[in-house]
Amino acid sequence: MGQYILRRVIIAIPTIFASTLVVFLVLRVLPGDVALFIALGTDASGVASEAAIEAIREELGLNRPLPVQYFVWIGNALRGEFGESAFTHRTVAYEITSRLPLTVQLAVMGQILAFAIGIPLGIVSAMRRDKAVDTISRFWSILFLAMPQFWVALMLLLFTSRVFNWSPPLGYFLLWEDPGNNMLQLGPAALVLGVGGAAIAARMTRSSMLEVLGEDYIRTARAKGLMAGAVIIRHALRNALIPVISLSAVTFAFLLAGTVILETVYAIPGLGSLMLTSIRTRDYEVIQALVLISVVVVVLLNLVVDIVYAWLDPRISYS
Amino acid sequence: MTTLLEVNDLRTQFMTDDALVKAVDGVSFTLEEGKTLALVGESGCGKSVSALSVMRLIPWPPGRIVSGSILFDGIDLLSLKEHEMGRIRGKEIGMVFQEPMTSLNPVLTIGRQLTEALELHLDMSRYDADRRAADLLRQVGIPDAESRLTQYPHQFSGGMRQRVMIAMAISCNPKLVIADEPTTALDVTIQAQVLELMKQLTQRLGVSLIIITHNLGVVARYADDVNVMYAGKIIERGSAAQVYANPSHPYTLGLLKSVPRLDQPKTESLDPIQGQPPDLGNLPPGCAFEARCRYAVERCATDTPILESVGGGHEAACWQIAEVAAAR
Repeated sequence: MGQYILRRVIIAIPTIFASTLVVFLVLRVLPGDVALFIALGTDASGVASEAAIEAIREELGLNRPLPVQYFVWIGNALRGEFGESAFTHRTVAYEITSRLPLTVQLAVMGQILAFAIGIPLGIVSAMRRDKAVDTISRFWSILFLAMPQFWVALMLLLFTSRVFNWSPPLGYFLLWEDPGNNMLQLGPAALVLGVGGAAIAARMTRSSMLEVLGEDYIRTARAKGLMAGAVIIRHALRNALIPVISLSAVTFAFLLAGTVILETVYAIPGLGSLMLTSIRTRDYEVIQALVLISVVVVVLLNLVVDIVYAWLDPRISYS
Repeated sequence: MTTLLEVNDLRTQFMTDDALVKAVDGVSFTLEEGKTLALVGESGCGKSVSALSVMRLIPWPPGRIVSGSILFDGIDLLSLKEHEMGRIRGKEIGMVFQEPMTSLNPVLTIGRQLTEALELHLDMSRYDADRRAADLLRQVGIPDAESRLTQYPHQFSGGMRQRVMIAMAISCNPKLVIADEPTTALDVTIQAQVLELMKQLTQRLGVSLIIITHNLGVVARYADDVNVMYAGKIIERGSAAQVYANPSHPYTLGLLKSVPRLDQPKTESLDPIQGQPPDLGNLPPGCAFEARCRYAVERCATDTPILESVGGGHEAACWQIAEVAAAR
């Protein structure tokens, strides 16, 4: 197992490098660079002079050849030096670590909600196939799959503010410092993420469950005299959840992407909103660090899921 | 001798998109305590559906037992509620399925799959159930029983898995074991071992056995009585000796002639039954075997024959019994 993990980590290294290179290049190809935005911000007239922009480029080292810029950045990153934001002048490490808890919490809450709603719904749907419960749950799933998250989030915001005259608190609340405001701020966003994820989880669980319920070993379990509940929980569920769990690495990546939109809608100062602001202002160092982190998280998540997979299915071994 | 199982006029049907399939169409049979009964026939003749009907494991939809009665040890199984049936399944009636490769749960240990029925029906503690499970594995001839209990099905060969299935079926001291083509998926040498094991265990434990097969060799060696099924009906029944010595239905005769024999010269060709089994969703009137039967007369296409005695409890459903007897 240890060897397997080591091998997977080694395989992941080229993936991580390639993604940093792609993002680095894309940022340089985009029209308008960070120097332009800084110059625009400092010049009250709203028109930046070419000379001012050039001076800022010189200062930030953006005039050096691209390979040099890339290797300087990656070299620093490998030593844990991610530079600083060209706008706030705070270190990228600070920007990220101060916002990371909120995004992690949001994503985890969303994933928990997605499984807590989606998996039971999928099971019930499969057991009552083509009955009213199944039809309603499938309608619901399709509905939430079809509605874009930003729209659902806006509608929820609109609903609570119009009907209850309430909207989530604005500010920076950590779970361990101000749990009340933290939950009120993140709750609606997590709910929107959760129901979207639940729609996917319910559909996957249902189809996987239906397949498992048709297996011979389910008939064997019933022939032993086990009642429906024991058959489902002991015999069907674990088999049915194997594909759901293995796909959850992919859906979690989507969920992370969803936090970008939701943090913006609900003004949550997390990584997602940082990402969006940084892209808008071409804050190169911040964007590059954020992408690097996202890629590492997704790679690690896939590894974790594969390990869980082996634990769920004894036929799989990584020795 | 007491009757353990009495099936009367059982009818099990499946609703498909375009037809009503009468998989079991008026089947009656009895099984005495301690005896072995064979249900014989081609694939799709209703023998497995008959067995699953006794266990009430017909999946609905699309299948349904529409009429008849199944008296097991004096209880009408068809009148039981689902939770009452749960106390019969696995406890009073054990079942061995055809596919040992897929009939065991891949993510549970062999031990767990054996102990769950013991805990459920015999109210055993985890510890007692584990010991009993190891003992069961030894009884079915699996060495290293204790360490095998912690293993998973994929670590067992097909024959070993079928032994586990047999251990499971007998684990709660049932009165009846139903074996649905228990050896079809196994190698020939393993087939003999598994059958011998079943015979020996059922005899020693005094368990009645229904063995479903299309292998007439199995019938000759292991069964006391034989029911031959065709298109959802029993078309011939009798003791194994009677049916072998005097096959009285053209279908049974055809089945026996389809078996290659080592004691006949190789130049002698086999005499298989021609044609295909009929579509159970669209059965012709009259005898279902008529289209494939070389003895068929006009009457066979219009009137359905019923079981008639050919002597000594041996019965066949055919209008041409005399001609078949003459040709035998």
